[in-house]
Amino acid sequence: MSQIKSHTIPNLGIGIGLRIPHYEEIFRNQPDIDWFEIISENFMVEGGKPKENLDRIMERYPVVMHGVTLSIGSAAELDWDYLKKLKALARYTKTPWLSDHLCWGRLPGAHYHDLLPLPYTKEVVEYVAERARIVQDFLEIPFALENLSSYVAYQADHMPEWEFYSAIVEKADIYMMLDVNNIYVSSRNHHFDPKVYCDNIPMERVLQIHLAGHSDHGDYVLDTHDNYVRDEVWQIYAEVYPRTRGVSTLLEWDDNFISFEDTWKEALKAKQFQAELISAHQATAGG
Amino acid sequence: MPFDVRSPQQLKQCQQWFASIIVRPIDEDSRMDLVAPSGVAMEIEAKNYIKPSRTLTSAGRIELYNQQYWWRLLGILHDSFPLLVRLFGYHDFNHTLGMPYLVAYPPDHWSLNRLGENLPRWLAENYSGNDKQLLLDSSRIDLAYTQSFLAATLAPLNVADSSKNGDFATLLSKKLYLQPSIFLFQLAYDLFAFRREFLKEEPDYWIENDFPSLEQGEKNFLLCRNPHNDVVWTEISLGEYLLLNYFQRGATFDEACQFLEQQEESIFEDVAKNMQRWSQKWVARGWLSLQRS
Repeated sequence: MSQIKSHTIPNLGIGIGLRIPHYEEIFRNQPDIDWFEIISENFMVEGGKPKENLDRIMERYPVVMHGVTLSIGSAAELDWDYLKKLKALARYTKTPWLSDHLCWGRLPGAHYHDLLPLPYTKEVVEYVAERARIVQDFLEIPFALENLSSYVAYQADHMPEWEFYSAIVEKADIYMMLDVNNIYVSSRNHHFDPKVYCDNIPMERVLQIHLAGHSDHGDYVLDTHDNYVRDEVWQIYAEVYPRTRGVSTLLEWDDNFISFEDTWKEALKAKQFQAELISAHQATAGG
Repeated sequence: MPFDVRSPQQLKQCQQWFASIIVRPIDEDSRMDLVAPSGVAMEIEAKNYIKPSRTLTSAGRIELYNQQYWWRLLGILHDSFPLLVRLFGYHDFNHTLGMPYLVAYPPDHWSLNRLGENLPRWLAENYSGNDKQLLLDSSRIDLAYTQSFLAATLAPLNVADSSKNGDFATLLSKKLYLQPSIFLFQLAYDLFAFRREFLKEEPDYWIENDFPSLEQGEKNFLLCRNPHNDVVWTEISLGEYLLLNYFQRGATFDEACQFLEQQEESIFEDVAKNMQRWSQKWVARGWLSLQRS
């Protein structure tokens, strides 16, 4: 049986990424926010302030883990030391699921600390899907891969990104952490229609949606997470959200920070785009 | 151990090529080297691997990743070495220290906290300016701040639990270790006060303005975490420095006392006079542990 039928994935509501510049406001004002996403690696440390801050956050808020260095598509052995620490943190935080990126970022003896895109081939689908299944089995909690923003396409590509992404998650029987800003950024850099992307992925596997801002340089767009969410990205979100039947939504803001209050206000805009699904639910309940 | 899957050969080749391009230093204008490591022009070689887009060439597309690699890693070093980056300014730090260091010691761990851990060693081996000692001391202090911030906390020495039936003499023969979050420095100047003043302004401010004054004279310092897990520093006497330095390697009180008996009379007197107060302070602050890190 597909495991996505056996898991109950909660809709946590609207959250934001937990970031250092906001700690003071959060601890002082204890805002009524639904949940926080943490970057796993920031808390996979021996001790000190990061752990203390995490404990304070966990006293009041649900926390979900999102990693950046799993490098599932790297031509290098899985890092079991890293995976053991990741699992230990997952148990500690009681994260309801864990995500990382559909990318590569290391080779034997080297880490590039970037989310590098993969060639879209059947061989790579088989390779990544098998590794994702191994990771999922090891972690023992729902595991999701996030679609990238990418700036290159390979001569070796034999299929579009949405087909590659879908094939991996279905073959591995895992989940999707769908970043709608990344769909938009990649659609600009690779000149495809975001609607085609959204029409061709298994929405039942989406367990969370990311929103973020980006930098438009004309000839290319960079996924910088340092700005408000653009209208075009909200439009994709509005398209996607009802099709997921309602999942947790997260705003990422990682640079050129604004106040916590303004970041939260930006995240809450998601509610207006969730209205269609809410109306549909109400209509069903009333009928 | 759970099994893994062998990577496809073509994927490996593609990634090895990609990596070989993005790790090459960018120039002063943040541009990619126009010639590939193979000697072929990048505009030609990149087309073998990467499709051009409607707006960017193949080489132009991978250049974005080349730039991101350096900007990200240099940004991490700026944050990790705030004193060093202010001594140089951003531009000179990047080109004199940062990029050569990262070529010699490229990242090999998933944690970016470890990116700068070899910078003091690289400086010692490669830098030959007149200010070398100042830079070495600065790099060690900056690195210690990061390492202290993230260090584990060992179970602190509990005097009551560690003695048998209230007989504290048993403690004298037990090996004690300093908490891994504690760092000791012996300097020819007050670099900590200098650093504190220096960090009040952004790095580029100091390009046009005089540096803070650096008080000369032999001084000893301790860096540690306070009960709020903030990293703090304090000046200590030579006697306390020598004693704590001995415990850093692991030692019993008996061994430490024997070491002190071999020191100059002034140091021995300082320790004899203050030992009880110091050891009470160290235990109260949880600085000593029976565990080894």
